[in-house]
Amino acid sequence: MNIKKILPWITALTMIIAICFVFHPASAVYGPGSEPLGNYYKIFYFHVPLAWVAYLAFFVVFISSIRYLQKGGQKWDIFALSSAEIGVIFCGLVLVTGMIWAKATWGVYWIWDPRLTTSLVLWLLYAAYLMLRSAIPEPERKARLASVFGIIAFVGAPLSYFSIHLWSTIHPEVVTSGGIKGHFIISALLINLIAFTLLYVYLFLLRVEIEMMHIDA
Amino acid sequence: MRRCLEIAWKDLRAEFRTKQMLNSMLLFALLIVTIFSFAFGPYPERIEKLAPGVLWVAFTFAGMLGLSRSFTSEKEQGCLDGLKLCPVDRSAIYIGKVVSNLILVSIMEVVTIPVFVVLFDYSIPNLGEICLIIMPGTLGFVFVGTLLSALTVNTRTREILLPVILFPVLVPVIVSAVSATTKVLSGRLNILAELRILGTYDAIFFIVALLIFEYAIED
Amino acid sequence: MISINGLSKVFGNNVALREINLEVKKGEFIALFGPNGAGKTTLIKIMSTLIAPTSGAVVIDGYNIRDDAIEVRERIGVISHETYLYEDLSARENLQFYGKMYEVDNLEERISNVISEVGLSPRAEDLVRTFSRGMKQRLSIARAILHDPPILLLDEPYTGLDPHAVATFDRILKVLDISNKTVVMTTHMISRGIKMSDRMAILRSGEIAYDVPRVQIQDEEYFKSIYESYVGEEL
Repeated sequence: MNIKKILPWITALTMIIAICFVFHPASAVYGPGSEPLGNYYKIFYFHVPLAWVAYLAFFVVFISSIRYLQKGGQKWDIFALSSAEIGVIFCGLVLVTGMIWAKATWGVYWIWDPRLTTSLVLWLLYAAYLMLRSAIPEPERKARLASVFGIIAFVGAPLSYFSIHLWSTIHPEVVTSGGIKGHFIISALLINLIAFTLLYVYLFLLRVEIEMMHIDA
Repeated sequence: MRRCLEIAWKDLRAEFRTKQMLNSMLLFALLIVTIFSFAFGPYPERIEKLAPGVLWVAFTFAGMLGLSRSFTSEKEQGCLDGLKLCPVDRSAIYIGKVVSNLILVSIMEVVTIPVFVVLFDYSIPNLGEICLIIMPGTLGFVFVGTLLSALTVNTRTREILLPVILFPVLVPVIVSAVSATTKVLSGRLNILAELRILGTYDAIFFIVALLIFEYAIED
Repeated sequence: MISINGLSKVFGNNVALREINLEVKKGEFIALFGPNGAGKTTLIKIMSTLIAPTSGAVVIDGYNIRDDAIEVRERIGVISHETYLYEDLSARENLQFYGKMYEVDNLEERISNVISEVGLSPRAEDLVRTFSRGMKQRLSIARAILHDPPILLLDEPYTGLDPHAVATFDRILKVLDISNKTVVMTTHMISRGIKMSDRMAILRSGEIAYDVPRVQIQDEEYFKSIYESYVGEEL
């Protein structure tokens, strides 16, 4: 009970610190030749944690779906639903932030880059997941069929990435190509990752609670 | 295994009697190819660029029309329950359905290719390699399509729901198959990467489907 | 032959079956009555391995439905208001398919026998699509007994049958010499239940509220009054 009361405050606090880090001049990102990249590059401090949370959320859907089929129990279905909804929103934000960044960098909103395209496919997969749920009125059948799809969707995702990767990539490899240097930048990214993960946990618990109320009512 | 084939044989026997699924698939594939040839004009210049897209759009859309009917015949008269009452594993039902769908979709593809060749006045080079791509592509399509067709058969809006949930899952198949077909048509035969993805996709989804099919058809 | 212990089934918040205990002896014919939603169909579906129970155990001829589903399925024949027949196959082709699924020996001979038992020999090669409801239900009997199961589960087998077809259906069941088969039947028709069964039970909101040997039921009126007092509505 205590955690539930403290969690929103911790989340808010971490989020504020994270934003301060992002807007601090020292968090500017440098290109391969150590030249400072534009401020718009800072969107990656949101973009990367959003993507991480979306993947995490879809992984939770996957695990919950397996557990539901193994053990049954409505709570696993509620976990899957809650996580899928949050995942779809965060994945949508990944696309939006990616598009803003692409417009600023390359002058176009959309490029068929593997990671961006994979995010789009993920978004479509889990939007389809939610649509499948809405098409089945009976709660138990809904839970069971959604679990089946929750497993299929997650299994297919990495293959989508590899197949799309066959097209050439232009996604900046910020994390691996050494664009991230210095403790400040790493801390800024880490604190953002923590902040967004906390936000996910908080939203997840809220969503689960709402769904539990539906059942008790 | 013999009983899987009995399920497929029963499906095919009923299908060849009515030809409902086969005719609608063939006609739809023909329509797609025709519409594309209208859309691109009578003699498009870079046909080898268009061909992979046209072919795979025709295959997947027409194939899906067939798949969506695959379990509706079982739903009439409660036949799916009758099938589930038989002393066989649920996975045998899945394999049986995969076999019959595979045969019907392949027939559609075999008919569509010459139609495409005639309408676009384009002789396909490296036909052997093209078949090498179509086979694993079709397998993956049918493996996943059969499973999801069973999943949607009891939903209210199954005709629209099946494409919506099937296409995002099919992305790896469509992307790899189109990419490989494009290469082969332009004379490049280094399609090992694509074939590897198609093979992996087929293997993974066949195993996953065997494991979870029973939950898709449970009551 | 059939033993049900503490069987419960919950759909979401809805309890369909509540701690059911039931023993059916070999050769017994039990008729289950009850209002819609009392759990009759759910009970049959669980016994026939179509849906899994939430808790409790069902053992059929020594096999547990949870662990030995395939052995259980070999030993039961199910007739429901749905026929489980393929409309685009002929009567014979339907039986050939199901016979092969059950791996029936001497299949062609067995098919000819059961088809004539249900009086459909002249129509054996016709598509099921052309059959009347009564004929389909007769063929459905042939399908259910094709593998000669020791146990028959009948779920509202009279639904949609006209009086003539009901009489034919009864005659076939009798002719089959069901005395050596164990039968569980759910139905709304008291007259059929009294005529066919040797034990009558009432299922009310997922519980067995009443269960007596058939000989204790004097006539239809008597059972009707019992039913009303237990269920609170007319049968």
